[in-house]
Amino acid sequence: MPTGRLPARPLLAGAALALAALVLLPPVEAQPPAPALFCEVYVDAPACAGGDVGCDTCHTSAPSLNPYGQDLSLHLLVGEERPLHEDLFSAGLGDALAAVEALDSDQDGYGNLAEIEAGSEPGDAASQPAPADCTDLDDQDEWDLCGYDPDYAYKKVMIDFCGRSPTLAERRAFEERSDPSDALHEALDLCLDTEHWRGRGGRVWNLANKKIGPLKAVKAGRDSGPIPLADYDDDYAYFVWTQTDGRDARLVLTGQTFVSAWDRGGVTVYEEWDRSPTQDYEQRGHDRYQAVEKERRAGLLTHRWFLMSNTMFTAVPRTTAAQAYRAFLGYDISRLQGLDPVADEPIDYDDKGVGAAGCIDCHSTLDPLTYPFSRYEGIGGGNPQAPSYSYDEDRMDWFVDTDGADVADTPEAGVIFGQPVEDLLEWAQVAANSEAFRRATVLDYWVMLLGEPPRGTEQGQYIALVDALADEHGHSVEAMLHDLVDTEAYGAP
Amino acid sequence: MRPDHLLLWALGLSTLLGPACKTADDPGTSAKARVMPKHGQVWGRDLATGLGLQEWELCQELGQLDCISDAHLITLGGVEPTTLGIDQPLANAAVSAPIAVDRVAMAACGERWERDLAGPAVIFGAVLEAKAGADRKKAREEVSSLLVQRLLARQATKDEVAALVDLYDALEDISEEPDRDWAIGACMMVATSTEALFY
Repeated sequence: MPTGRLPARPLLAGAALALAALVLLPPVEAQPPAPALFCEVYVDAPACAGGDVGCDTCHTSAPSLNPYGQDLSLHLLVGEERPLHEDLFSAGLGDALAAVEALDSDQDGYGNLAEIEAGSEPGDAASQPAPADCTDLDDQDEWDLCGYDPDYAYKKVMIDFCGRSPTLAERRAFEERSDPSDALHEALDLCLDTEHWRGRGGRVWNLANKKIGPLKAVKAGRDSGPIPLADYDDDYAYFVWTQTDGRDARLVLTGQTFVSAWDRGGVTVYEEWDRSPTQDYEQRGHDRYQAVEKERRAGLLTHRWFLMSNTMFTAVPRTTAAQAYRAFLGYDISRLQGLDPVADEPIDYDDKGVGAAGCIDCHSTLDPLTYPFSRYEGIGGGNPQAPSYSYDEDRMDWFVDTDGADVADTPEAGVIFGQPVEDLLEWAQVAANSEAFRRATVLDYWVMLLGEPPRGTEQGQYIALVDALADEHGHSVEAMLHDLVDTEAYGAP
Repeated sequence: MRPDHLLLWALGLSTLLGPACKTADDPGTSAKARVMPKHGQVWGRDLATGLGLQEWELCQELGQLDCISDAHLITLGGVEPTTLGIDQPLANAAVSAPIAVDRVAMAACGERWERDLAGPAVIFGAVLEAKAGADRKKAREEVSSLLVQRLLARQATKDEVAALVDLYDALEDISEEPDRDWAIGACMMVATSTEALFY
């Protein structure tokens, strides 16, 4: 189960053969245990505060290696035939790590070991250890460069959440407050209610872009396109609703109601509603109604738009599961992330050849991840008597002509994070309660507010937020954000 | 865009954003060095607030397209996921971003000048009312300070005021309307400074 770890990517991927040949590096096969092994060696490294080191320790973008990864590759089991078996790789990595400690792979003037211990990246010349003694020579500027600066954090909160800089009068008023922390959080509370943050087209709304994948050409409802198939406004509204007003963010995967966004005098208002498919059909029409009965709903995963744009006409909707895994749990299987192979999988019920060498590594995770999605209709291709985008227990029977007789045997039960689940509702519960979900949720906002994933020295702050999201924050994004703006990562100039 | 505005733009960039803008002391270096661009809408909102304009009054390309929410939306860090498929801001600033920023700032500062000319003045009143000699220089100092206060939400340093005021000397012999060109140029320099665009 990959929870508790950063997305598992190989240290050295077989797909890098061509590149490796160019730079005379010995090719090595994918080695998923590398991030964990690294942190077994460098237990106290700041970058390991979250459990495993990030992929970018050795990679630029996997499978390509950065200078540190290249040095490691050159010193790893020299003379051994490639590709290396995982056991051999694991046994040899420690020596290779030791062998390159004294090198300065990225030639930034700091040795690899010094960088690892300081929390900077040994393979990135732009990442260097922070000066041991911080100096803030200029007392004319307004910032404290050596630590958390409430004035700086206030300005950043106003820009990030309110969508404007504070005025000179507001800054003076803040500086005069004897309780800057209280003042900061008061400002944040006000900003969390602005249109810039939570309105239609606001920051939270746009955070859902990659999860929803809107396409106006097939949009129904407001501003509909020429081929209206579904209305992604339902998805955006639902997403923002789960992220605001202290709601439990897990509802994005587990909720069984819907939300609409209304413009009330220039303010976006989100209203929860609950109608049966028949009621919604009568109220909103054939091109917009949500067709899944309440007892089969799993948040955005069973929204009409999600099923339309991902499942489409497929019997075993791997794309749908992969998108759910990527969008809400942070694992992109196409990048070999979150692989957690299930024994005897993939079975290849739909005769797509996924058991072939080169496919099996991903599909042994992806296919059992997909089965729980298989009873939800897409645009078509399943039971012609069942409405599109609805749940149909016998859906697979209708694909025999196109996908072979075995497709009817596709189970609804599947596996996520190594845990068997009976159906998509259980899948969603496991997903929503996972550390992967919390990591992905916090990471979304971290990247939004800081422009990049946590740096090595910031892993501890990031993990603290991830842990707190489940505990003291009760899965409230807004509560998490109150802690995020208190971190040094956010508030130190 | 008028040719003299182009000249003014070039002069502006070379003076305020150059060494003259720095304080005498080493300002220190951030250990984090994490600087983010303001989204175009945030920058535009700040600009509108600072100049006493509505956001939609800042700039219209061809007199029709709002510069920030439409014409230069993506260039200035916006997204348009539904038709263009741009679902997050560009990772790196587009090559046209500085041009877009300059066009917005020039249009907005020009609009402020014209409105102040018609009165009542919001920013450039001191320059418009100054008669001659020392009064005129003092007026430019006053406007310079006001621009920094309103656009950067802080007090201007002496060096910054001096750099802005000195622009007038460069314009005096080549501009037909040096007061106007100085006012718009000084406004542009502050509005397009690193501090105004990044945080």
